[in-house]
Amino acid sequence: MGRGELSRSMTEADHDLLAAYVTAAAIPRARTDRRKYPIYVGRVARLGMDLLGLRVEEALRRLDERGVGDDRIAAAFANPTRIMRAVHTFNEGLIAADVSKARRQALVLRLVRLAQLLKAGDVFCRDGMNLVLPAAEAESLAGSLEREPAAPSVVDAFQRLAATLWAAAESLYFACHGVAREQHGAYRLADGTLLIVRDYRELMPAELWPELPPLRHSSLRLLAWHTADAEVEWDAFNNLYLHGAPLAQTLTAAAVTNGDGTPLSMASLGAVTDELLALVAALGNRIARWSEEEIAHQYLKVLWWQVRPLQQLLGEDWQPPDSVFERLASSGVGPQSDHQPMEAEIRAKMDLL
Amino acid sequence: MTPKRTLKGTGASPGRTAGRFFVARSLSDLPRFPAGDILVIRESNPAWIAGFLAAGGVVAEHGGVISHAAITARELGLPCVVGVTDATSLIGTGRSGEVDGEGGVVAVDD
Repeated sequence: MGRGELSRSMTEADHDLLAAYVTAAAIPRARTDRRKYPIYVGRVARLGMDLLGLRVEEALRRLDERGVGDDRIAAAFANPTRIMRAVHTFNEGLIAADVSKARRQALVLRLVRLAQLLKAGDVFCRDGMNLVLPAAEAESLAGSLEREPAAPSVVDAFQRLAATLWAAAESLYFACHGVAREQHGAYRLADGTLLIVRDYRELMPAELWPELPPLRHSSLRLLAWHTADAEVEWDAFNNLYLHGAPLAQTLTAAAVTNGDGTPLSMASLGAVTDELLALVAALGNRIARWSEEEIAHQYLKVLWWQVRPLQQLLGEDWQPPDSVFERLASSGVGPQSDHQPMEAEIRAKMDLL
Repeated sequence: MTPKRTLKGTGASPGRTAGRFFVARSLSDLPRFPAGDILVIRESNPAWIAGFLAAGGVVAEHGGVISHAAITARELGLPCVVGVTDATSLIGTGRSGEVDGEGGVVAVDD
């Protein structure tokens, strides 16, 4: 039996990992609203998730044949959340393609282990933390930058940038915003503070969104030092929950760097935020003029963009096959459903155990 | 003491704020939104970011704890309650009240 198919005698470790994945994915999926921007992803994904799941499986098989190691494959995704948030789509895709449960299990396990390679902590954030950096690296990063104390003007500029980046990520990638965004921590530093890092990447995907307003930074890293009593918690899909005070009240210092690590002054953040606001407005105006079919067309491209790293490693085009767009033209976008499935229903639908 | 009507929802971003409400039924209402007021909307998407940046708090009819409104409010440190049924109908622009983003309660002065 090849690497791509799981043995009938699945190991205990494999079973435990699958069970943990099912639990970890079911919780945020049960909290996900049906009324999503710009339309609910399920209405679009049904048009091509079988082909997407098969593409991922096939790409990994071919990368194995070429001897491309898992470290390199994982690194190409950069954000563990880019993988983790997409796994269920690929699993549902393989269900739609009617492949065996063993093959689906194998793909899910492979992807979860790829995501694990990008993390220093638990891949499912079961301890409430999303630890991407090893402790020493987090300490070194924090020590390498000059912190701006959290004066009200600094807090305001920092939070406006953080919120606008989130809006930009969702504008560019819809529900697949894990492509652009990884919010990680909280790293407990030697000085007693908690460090939360927000990494934003791929903010100028010209192939996906031509003719967008330019940005001066396609990648940004926001670092926030908080008091030790900040009560933060992440789920497996990189959603951050607060249990105590607002983040502004525990923020003690901040720093922002661009993609190559060059620090940005707090005085410059307003201009960066304004550029991002222009980007969000431009995308919003474009989508507001589109029909549902046009939105779905773009959404299909976004879904395929998620796995672009695999095609890049293979030296191939990332675009969806024409047949997906032909399906859209012939059957249209799926109907809106307001049915909010409970965790048990989501777990059963995954059919992985 | 001013009598209050209490509306229940889901606490999405901690903190409390008191002030005037502004009901925005569409993005075209935002240019009239007074900075610092509490923004009341049906649901949010990225295009609402300008409204959030000006708001003192947010109330949304739809959405849960990982909705766009909830995440944006947490990033901005704005008290936010989501899932408040018929909020845009039950809360009038110009009314005063309070938002408890931890308890998920919106109190509107009668």
